[in-house]
Amino acid sequence: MREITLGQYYPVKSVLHRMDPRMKLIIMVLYIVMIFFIKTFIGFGIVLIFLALTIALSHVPLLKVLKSLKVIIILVIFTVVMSVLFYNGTAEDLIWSAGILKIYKEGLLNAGRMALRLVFLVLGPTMLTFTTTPVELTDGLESLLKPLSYIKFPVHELAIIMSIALRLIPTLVEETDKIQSAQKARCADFESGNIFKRAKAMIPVLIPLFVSSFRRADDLADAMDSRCYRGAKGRTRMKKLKVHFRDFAALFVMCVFFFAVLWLRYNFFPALIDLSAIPWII
Amino acid sequence: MPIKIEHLNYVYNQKTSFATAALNDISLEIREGDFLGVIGHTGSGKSTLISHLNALTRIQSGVIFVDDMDLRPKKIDFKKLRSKVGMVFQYPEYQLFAETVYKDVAFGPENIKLPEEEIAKRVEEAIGLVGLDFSSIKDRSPFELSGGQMRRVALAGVIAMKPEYLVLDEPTAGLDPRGKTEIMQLVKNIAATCKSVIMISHNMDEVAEYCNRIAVLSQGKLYGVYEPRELFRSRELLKSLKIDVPAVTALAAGLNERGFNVDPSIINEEELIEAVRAEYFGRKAQ
Repeated sequence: MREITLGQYYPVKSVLHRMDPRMKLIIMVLYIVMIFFIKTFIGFGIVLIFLALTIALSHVPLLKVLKSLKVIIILVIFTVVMSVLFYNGTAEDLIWSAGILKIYKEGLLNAGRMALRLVFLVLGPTMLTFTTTPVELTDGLESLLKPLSYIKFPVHELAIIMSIALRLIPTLVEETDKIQSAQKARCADFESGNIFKRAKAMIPVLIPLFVSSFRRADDLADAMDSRCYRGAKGRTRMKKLKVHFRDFAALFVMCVFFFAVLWLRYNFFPALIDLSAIPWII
Repeated sequence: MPIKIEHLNYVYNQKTSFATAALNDISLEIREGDFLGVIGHTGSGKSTLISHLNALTRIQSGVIFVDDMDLRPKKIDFKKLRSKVGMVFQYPEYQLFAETVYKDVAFGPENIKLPEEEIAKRVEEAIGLVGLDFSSIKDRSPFELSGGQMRRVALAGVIAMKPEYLVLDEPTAGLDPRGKTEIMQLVKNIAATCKSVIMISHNMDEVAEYCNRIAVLSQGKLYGVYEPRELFRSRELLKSLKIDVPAVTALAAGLNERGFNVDPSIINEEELIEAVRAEYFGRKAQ
């Protein structure tokens, strides 16, 4: 159970770590949207430059970043194999066939683009969680969603629920460990038997866990009450989020990349440089 | 030799940059009839040490034998070991889960696949041993009991497996003074049914009163194993390890310093009362 780590914050000092979480969130949204505009390998090259820049600035080791791809590796392989095998191309594109299996050149390229899109979609948010603590993230989210509170959307409450949940995950993991040890000491068997047996074996762990969660929630509510917590009304912050020059610089860089990707896709200035005339931009 | 630990080492987060040594070359023998106290500050490795005894923590390097069971192989008979070495964790009442007290206490015996009649017999016996009334409590929910009762039920859940060795991690933590005495009395009664008892404690009064040997851990190392009298007499050692003396010993030592003829190594109430009485009548007679 111990291996569970949510929010894989990597504690080093870098300009990316110091950035305003709100700006990072905005940039990440732009980044994700940007990826869906990409149709060409050159476009992915542009994103790669952006990512390389981000990783270099973050001081997070490259290997650590690449390790985050481990979770999607099966998904990527599955997607690639499926899209190669079931692509329907034209006859002159066919490179290899055996029975009903046909592989087209365009199918391969398509699969490659799909794989790259998945990889880049994971790497972006990964960089966000590497450089931003969960607390900063919820703070940023709360601040960004603030306008919604005018239509009576409980933004502050949502944020506080999120931060409490994030805070309690390690505690609950530890608690689960303890209870599991205690039941193991009474010869409980969690490792053998079929899936139903194993699920049933978890009952002696889950019930005490629920009970203690409720107790903990009660205690926390009391502790908040006794320190006069009354929701968002009139509440100020100790750490005020502040936007600096570097945040705008980062946003600017993001916009430049976004524009480059859009230009590549829509060929804005055919009179100036006609991208569609360049053959290697596929 | 019932339990034998030799050159036990344990490192947390092995092979990572966060590696920290929790146990460092510990050799310890627990004899039959021992009531062994394990003392040491938070982080000294007490809990890691005792969780080795029923293979909840597996040996990284070193040797442990429980009777003739070797705990080194990867596959051992866990059920046999864990019914042999009963372990009561800190705040054991947080492990209660069943709808009724009876079912909760029967959890352990059921796991070792005992016949139904044997389970019933053991549950009744265990509930009796922890000082609860079997017929009135067996069908109640463990969650509606008082804190002290819950702890007793949890204790019964371990005893019902009839362990030969009982390992306790701070059995009196968080109880009021009377609750502490009551639980320790129970533990003493239960100890009579086991080969030996191992108890972690921060309460020196308890350690002095109930243990016949005391293992002192400090920063993952076994500092030594002492008899209570011997340990609480060596003031220098206690000071260097920042360990308190039992209240009675502190009182006896204070009297001794002020010129009364009271042995400063006294470790229990009766002895102190006897010594003070003797001194009082002795002075009166003069």
